[in-house]
Amino acid sequence: MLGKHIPGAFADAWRDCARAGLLGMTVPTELGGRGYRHAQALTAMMALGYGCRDNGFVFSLATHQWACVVPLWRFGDDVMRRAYLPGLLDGSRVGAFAVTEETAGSETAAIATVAVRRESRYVLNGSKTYITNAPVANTVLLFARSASGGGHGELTAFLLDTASPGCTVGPPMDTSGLPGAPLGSLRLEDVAVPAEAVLGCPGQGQFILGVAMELERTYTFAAGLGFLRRMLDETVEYTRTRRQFGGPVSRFQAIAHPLVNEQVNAELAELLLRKISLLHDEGRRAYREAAMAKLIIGEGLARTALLALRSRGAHGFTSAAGREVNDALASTIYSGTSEIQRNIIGSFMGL
Amino acid sequence: MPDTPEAEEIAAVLVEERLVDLPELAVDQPLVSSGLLDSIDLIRLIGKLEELYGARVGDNDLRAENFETCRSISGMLARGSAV
Repeated sequence: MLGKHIPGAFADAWRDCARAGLLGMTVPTELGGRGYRHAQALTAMMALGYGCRDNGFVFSLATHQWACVVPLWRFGDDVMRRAYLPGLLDGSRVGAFAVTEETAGSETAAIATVAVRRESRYVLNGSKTYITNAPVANTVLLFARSASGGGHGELTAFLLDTASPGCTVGPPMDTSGLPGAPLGSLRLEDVAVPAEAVLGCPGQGQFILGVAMELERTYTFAAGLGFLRRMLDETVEYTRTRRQFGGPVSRFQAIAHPLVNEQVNAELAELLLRKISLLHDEGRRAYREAAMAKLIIGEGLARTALLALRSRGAHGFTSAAGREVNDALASTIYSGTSEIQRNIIGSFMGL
Repeated sequence: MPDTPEAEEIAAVLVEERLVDLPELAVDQPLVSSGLLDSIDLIRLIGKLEELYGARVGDNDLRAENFETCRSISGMLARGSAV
């Protein structure tokens, strides 16, 4: 089903997730999804993050679902939905989300990839980098600036096949963590796409980007909360069995209190995620709350991973606990850095 | 459910909530194309419209032209949600 260049383990796991209905849970059943409410999808994402030890794979699946599948369903017309959703849900298509460029990271407004209208087509030129799933995706939700006056051109979202002539997929990037999440780049050289490849309508890109970010910050980070809780539970268990100075090290407050702090933090984070999913099920937006949840969970992951390492002493340094630190640190960066989340929340406060 | 606000009321909300950094706002003043409202401002505005008027701004309403002026915002709300 997936391309032959995709590692067998990834393809197998992807197929299993497709069968389990995990690739587009909130998409209506008539389009191949599960028709879950957001509250149900939230529970599923937390469970997935907790239960699956391949944190990168979980991130890859979450990106596909919340930054490609759901925006496509919400903003795509019937023709586009029918063309892409079945494959994206049955496991034969992997989706990616292409916003970031070398000179446009936190500053998404600096996007320089250009889409020029030529009769019934758009011609795309530019490049994208740090794109999750790029090495394995065949479907990309890509953002380009429609050429218009004053360099202040509006952002337009396109749905693109990576096999399009002129579209080159770069080699997988070397990362310090999340090895299960393929990361790469795309180059677009005079890639011609029909006008129907526009997701939504021209100039709607900034809104689609906002929706995708709100979804990622909520549901991808719900899986992150699952990961956090797994590290916490396993660390608690370790400290209960590790004996030094005549008893379990868990009895030392220097060990216990930091773990308690993360437990409290995790509980609050889940409450916030639940509030967001309730708002989503009412058809309301929760952009501010999603930024808060992302900030709390991302920073919580970084702290918890370090605790998981250090609470195990030398054993931590020589076991998987050490590698999970790198996995966890990524969550302070992607979907908008913690600093950007603070800027967003500050804007809502009038700062 | 509160009545759909007129353009003048939208302008007052934008000024009072400091969504625009102006002492007053004309109902036909360009908001998006002029850069007066950036993407975060638009999101904040949508939240305010939800809160004050029970408005549901559907995905198909999320277009720059709907938010270009206070008059167009009022018109969008009067049409009701386009999901």
